[in-house]
Amino acid sequence: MSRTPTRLRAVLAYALLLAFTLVFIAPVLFMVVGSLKPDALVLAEAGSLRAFLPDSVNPDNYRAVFERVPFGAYLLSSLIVNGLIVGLGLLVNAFAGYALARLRWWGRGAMLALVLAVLVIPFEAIAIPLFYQLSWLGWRDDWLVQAIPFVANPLAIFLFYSFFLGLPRELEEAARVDGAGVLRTFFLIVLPNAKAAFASVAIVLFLFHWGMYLWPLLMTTSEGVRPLPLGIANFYTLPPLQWGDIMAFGVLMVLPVLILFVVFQRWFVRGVASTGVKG
Amino acid sequence: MADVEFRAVRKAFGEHTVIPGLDLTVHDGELLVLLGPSGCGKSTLLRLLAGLEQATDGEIRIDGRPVDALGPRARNIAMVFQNYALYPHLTVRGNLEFPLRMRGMGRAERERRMLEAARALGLEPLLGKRPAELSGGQRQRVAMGRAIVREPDVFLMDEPLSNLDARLRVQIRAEIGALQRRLGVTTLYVTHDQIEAMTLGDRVAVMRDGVIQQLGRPVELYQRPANLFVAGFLGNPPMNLLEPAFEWRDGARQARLGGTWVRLAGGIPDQARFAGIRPECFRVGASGSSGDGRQDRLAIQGSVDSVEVLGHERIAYCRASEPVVELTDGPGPWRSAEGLLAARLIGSGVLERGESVTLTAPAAEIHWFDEDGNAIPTDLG
Ligand SMILES: Nc1ncnc2c1ncn2[C@@H]1O[C@H](COP(=O)(O)OP(=O)(O)OP(=O)(O)O)[C@@H](O)[C@H]1O
Ligand SMILES: [Mg+2]
Repeated sequence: MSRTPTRLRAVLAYALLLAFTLVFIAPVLFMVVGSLKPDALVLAEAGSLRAFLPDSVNPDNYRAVFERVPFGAYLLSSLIVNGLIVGLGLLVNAFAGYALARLRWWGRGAMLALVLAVLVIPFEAIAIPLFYQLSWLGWRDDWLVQAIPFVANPLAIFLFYSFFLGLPRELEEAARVDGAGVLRTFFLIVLPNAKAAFASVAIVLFLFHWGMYLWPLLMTTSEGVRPLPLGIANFYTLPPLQWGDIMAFGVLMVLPVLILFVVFQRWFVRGVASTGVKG
Repeated sequence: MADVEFRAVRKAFGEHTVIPGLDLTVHDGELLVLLGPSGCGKSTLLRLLAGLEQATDGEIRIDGRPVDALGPRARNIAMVFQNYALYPHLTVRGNLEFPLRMRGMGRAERERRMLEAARALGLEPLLGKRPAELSGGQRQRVAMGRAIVREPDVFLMDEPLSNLDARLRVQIRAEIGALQRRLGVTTLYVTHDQIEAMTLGDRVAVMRDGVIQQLGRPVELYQRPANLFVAGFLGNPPMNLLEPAFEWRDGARQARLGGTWVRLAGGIPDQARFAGIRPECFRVGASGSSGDGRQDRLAIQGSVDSVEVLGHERIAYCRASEPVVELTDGPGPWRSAEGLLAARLIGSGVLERGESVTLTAPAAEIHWFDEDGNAIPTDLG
């Protein structure tokens, strides 16, 4: 075969990829650029390509975010709630996945089936009953109540379960013979060799819940415990409607996700590299 | 130090019985090799002793104490796994110290024991490295070190050499033997390599389908195999097996092997059905060289099919006129086929492919087996 068709194909493929990338990146770019513009320009230029070109770097919108709403409080709430979900979630789901993958107990098969079944139930379906349950307990309007329902996560359990199944069983058996019990085997041998799984689950849990809106809306009334998504919704309703300010809020809200991703990406690589177990 | 006793131990995984009922005593300080084909239950037996599996039935004793209710930790056993199972996130030092740490040993004592084990195995320069940075042989040594560091009552080794290349295997085999003799720790060693079994074992137990076929010193097993399975499993190439015709002639039961009717001084036992001859018992002579009417030698005519030259010795495979029975791993009856007879020849000499030869062997060297493949003891055999 001649070389031209393959090269042509590559060019086409890249063109296609580029088009897709543009489609996905355009709104983000629009947001970032918009957040740096005076409010009047955001709408005026929205119809032209200039919407993607910053003409000046103008921090006024960012200042406005902090002045017009308690952005710091929203951010703190979001960080605390997600910190709880990720922190507790890693522990609880890892335990659950390990018990399903390695321990022998009555009803294990049924429990695994149940976890998989729960995977397909959308949260919206149980939000209202859960809301009544917790109202009946009188528990609402704090950080913990926003986090607890999401700590046990079937997808996370399943990710851990399959990862642990793939770990060489001899490692744990060697630890048992060397004198470690179940808990020490888990914490001293399994956990250090499961960094990749912990990193992926942390990212999954964080991404799932960073943009959470319905549940905090149901459960909170005080601004002091409300997370960022409620904050930005609130921001819309504050007259005057300033698109530049809202873009700035959006940028600030996305930033922690990016930071987390960059940090954990290194873990990803390291985790995968260190699973070269066998001889 | 301790002896180990299996009493009527049975193990089934669900419906599938792996070990139907096994009695075995490993003496204090002995190295006992479990030898058998893949899937015969060797690893299962080790895992039962280590406490990684629960016996379905029966009792296991270490030093006279029943251990069935004890977890792995309480049994004070050390195990070397086939893939070593080194902890990848710990350094060699960390790996060696792990069992000591788990016993709650103090720092100074730990350090002392760890260094002692490292020195015994030449691991001192490697203490700071992780398993991924080690060669196969080094990993094997670390696994050994992790086993000896705790000074356990019993060592279990599950095919510890199978991941090494041939040269290293010979070297480390010798090291393991020397180490075990020096420490005098009761050892159960699993392999499916007969050379390992013969060279390392004080005694060898040949297993098949969860049943011990024969237990004894390596020479005993080789010289007096209890049945066709053991005869075929030990020795490379395995024992040649023939199915002669038997007849009463001149007042004695005789067997027709090749062109000769063979008789034994003590008589051929009545139940004898198969005749086994080790490859090294054959002499290869020119065709027709040995009809000389002697009844205490057998002489089989054949043609050379192929010759394997192994340096100081050669293995000649000869196509015989005689029906040769192939030893298979499966249950009997053993497939009768016009197979090849193997003869081991020392020294040089020319043998051409297709050359006609006569294979001779003293009748006294023949192993006799009955219908079911069990060996029949003879005075001379
Ligand atoms: N956990 C288990 N569940 C079900 N069957 C098992 C289990 N462990 C082992 N077996 C079965 O038990 C039999 C013996 O296995 P085992 O590992 O003891 O053999 P082995 O002699 O060590 O073989 P190899 O030389 O291949 O290691 C096999 O048929 C295997 O399928
Ligand atoms: Mg095995």
